[in-house]
Amino acid sequence: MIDDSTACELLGILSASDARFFEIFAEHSVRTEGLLDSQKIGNMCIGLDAGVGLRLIKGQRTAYAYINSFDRHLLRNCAKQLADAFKGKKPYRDFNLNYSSADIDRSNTKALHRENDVDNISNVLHSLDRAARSSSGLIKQVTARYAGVEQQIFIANSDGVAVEDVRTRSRHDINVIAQISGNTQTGYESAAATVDRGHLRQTNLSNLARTAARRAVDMLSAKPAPAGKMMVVLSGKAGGTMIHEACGHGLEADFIHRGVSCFADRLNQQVASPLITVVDDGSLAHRYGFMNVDDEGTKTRKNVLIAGGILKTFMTDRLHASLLDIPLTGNARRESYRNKPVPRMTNTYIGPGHSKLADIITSVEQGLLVVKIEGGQVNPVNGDFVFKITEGYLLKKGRIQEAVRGAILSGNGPEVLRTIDMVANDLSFMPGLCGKEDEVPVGHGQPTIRIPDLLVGGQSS
Amino acid sequence: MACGEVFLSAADYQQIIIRRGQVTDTKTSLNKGYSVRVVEAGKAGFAYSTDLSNAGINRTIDHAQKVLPYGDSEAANMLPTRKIQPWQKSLHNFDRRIKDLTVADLINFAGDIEEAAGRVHKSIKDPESVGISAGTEETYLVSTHIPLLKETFSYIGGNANCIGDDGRQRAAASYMGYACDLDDFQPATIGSETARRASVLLGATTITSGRREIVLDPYVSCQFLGFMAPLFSAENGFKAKSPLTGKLGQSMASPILTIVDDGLMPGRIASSYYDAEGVPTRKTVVVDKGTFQSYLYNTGYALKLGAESTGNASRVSYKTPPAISPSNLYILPGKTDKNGLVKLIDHGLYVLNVMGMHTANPVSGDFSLGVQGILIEKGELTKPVKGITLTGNLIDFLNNISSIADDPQFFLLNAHIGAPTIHVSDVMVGG
Repeated sequence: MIDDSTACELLGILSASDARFFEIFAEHSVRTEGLLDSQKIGNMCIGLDAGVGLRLIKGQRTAYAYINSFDRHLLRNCAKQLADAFKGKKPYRDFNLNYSSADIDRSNTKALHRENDVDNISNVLHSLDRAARSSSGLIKQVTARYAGVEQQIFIANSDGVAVEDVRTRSRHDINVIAQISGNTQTGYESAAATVDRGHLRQTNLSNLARTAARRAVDMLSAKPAPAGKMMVVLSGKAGGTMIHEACGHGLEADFIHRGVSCFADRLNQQVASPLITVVDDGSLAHRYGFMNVDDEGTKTRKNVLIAGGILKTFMTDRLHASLLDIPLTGNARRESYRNKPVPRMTNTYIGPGHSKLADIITSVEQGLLVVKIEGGQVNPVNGDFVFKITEGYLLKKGRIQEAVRGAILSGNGPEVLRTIDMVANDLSFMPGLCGKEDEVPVGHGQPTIRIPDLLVGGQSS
Repeated sequence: MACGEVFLSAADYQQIIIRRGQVTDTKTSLNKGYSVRVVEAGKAGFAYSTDLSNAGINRTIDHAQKVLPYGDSEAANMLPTRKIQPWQKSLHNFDRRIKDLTVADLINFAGDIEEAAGRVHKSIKDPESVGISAGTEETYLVSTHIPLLKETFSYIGGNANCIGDDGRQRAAASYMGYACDLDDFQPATIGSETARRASVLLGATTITSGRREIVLDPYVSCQFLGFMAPLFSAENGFKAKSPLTGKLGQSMASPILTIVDDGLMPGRIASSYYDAEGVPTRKTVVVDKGTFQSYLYNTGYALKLGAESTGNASRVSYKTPPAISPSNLYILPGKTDKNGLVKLIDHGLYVLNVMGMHTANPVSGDFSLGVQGILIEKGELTKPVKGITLTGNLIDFLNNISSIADDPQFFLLNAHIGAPTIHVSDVMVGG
């Protein structure tokens, strides 16, 4: 990427500006991906994306510039033009880089290099296809995708941080279409992981494919979901999309600082049921949101955001930790060198409770069991959210009844948190992609929870 | 015989963000990258890179050749061979002045947005955020089959987020606008429209479930049309992933609905002379008075379906190979005045915003969305409502379109989409 002497020179140029903080983020990423559709491999691709982002902060203002080159001359010009944004009369500072002793362990990459062998990718995709098709005669189409990325980064800043890190990730997606007599339904499932300590968790391809296929086939006989407010049991198997969307974004320190989060001014107050503990942890091994250090070089860690329903802390980056005078939490993230970092979630989950799953199911007189939700949207200003239910079942008199489809869950995040009245002990995680301004990989999870009253936007009254 | 294609994009952008009257972000982007596609006997290998050194270029070619054997015989991987016509009229999508804009100029535009927003409603404080971005892009495309094609584009865009607060409730709204030419850029409209949308939703309550007539704001009509875009792709039609598969020439919507894709509209962000394969673009009538008239094609799927490419191959960026996408896709405006349309409704809902459109299913056509809007009672807009849902199937929805207004607006969504205010006679609203 860039050598130490170039890095020192760039930091020196930036130091002559009026900025109180400045940073270099250099990145070299290689991505290998393939797509299988209609039993044929297509869109195999190997891509290289490399460049440098430079950042200056003065007060509340950030100046950012990037180029796709490691050429010293071009970088020098980029730094000079950027430093002009905060013209200062300070002298050029000499910089010495201290490399952090934090993990530069490249054994992380070994497992993935095998995975990224194009031959292996082709085998993986065909396996997913065969497993899905063999599970039912009603499967009409299978689309499977694999993507593997190795992201090398180098960060150096005016506070003396200098660190390298390698993030190695893989992701499998499968989308299955089932059809009978003109009725077409889809089932989707994904598995993704970030390598930790040299070990990539093996994905059970057969399970992945069969789950997606079964979902598509079940949806063929599913009835239209009801419309109206009802008790909802949200299964741990759905992952933590709800907590990520309905609550997580509101706990990011930039939204707090801007006054656009419904959790602003609520530190140390009761914001959720006492049964609820919410954690964000970037150090959680293997989860999709795992990183040794965040994208500002801060070590990741377990952050308890809400404990027993009391709001404890917000997720920060350097700028907002400073503006709000709260600690760094290791949540500064960016999609690539093209973006400045902002506070983002890593692996976010509701902690396990004490109820048994079976007891939650039997407690429901009339309601909906939601096993899978896929995608949603939230308005962090007031916490209103929507999520799409892709696998759901009616609950009647404590028993699981027929499958239903075609509905969205609509509600308000803080209100849901306050009203959750049963939490099981079956914590489960799913991977996801979070698109706040740019896109980053995240993990999310929850145990099965009971929400007394939520709007289900179905078709039938 | 092996063929090859190279695509390069060099883009130069500046952006600023202002929050509550203060500049919080400035950004300069110099984004240059390229891709190589090698095609042999219907298989294709694709690789992209930002490394323009000789070693880097050779590595990219090696990567493309390495994956070539794994691209199964796939008609999508064909390079066009027809002759290219020289271009005729200007597309008015490159304004040299945009290249010379400074950060100070962008800050002035942001100021125009803020000022216009502040004049709308006493409860709208300074816009929570205003963003302006502007820049130019040069693209180069060459293959063993076509000569070097170069195009230049310019763009200026603005967006705003406003929060209305009446002491009891907060309502947020966002809006955007953009142009290829400085003379077409209207920051004041962006500001006033954002503020208006936030203010009308204050005090929103919910309503009971039931079937209703609805009127879609153009921003919402555009999101529906954006959701529909994959339905018109020849690839999805061929692979039975579109509800329109096998329905060419059949009725699929109300006879007042006509949908057009036009790559040559002057001054529009998605207009270009050539598509991503180098095929000249054109105007294609996709839906004609409710009848499904034509898919959108690239070279490969046109061949598979016995048709001609409509010039709809598109790259999201240099990182992706060409795939079928609309260019400027729009619903032909009707003759009805929008206010006249609302006056005819006794018991309905004006839909201002939808949430969750990206979760709608383009294969089955099913959608279920969160909605914010304003009740229509006896022809008048009355109370704002939120926390409600809109559920249905796309084909039923399209067949229930009963009038289309004369006020088209364009938005950059998953493609460049245009649509007017639309009245749909019967949908399920959940509350």
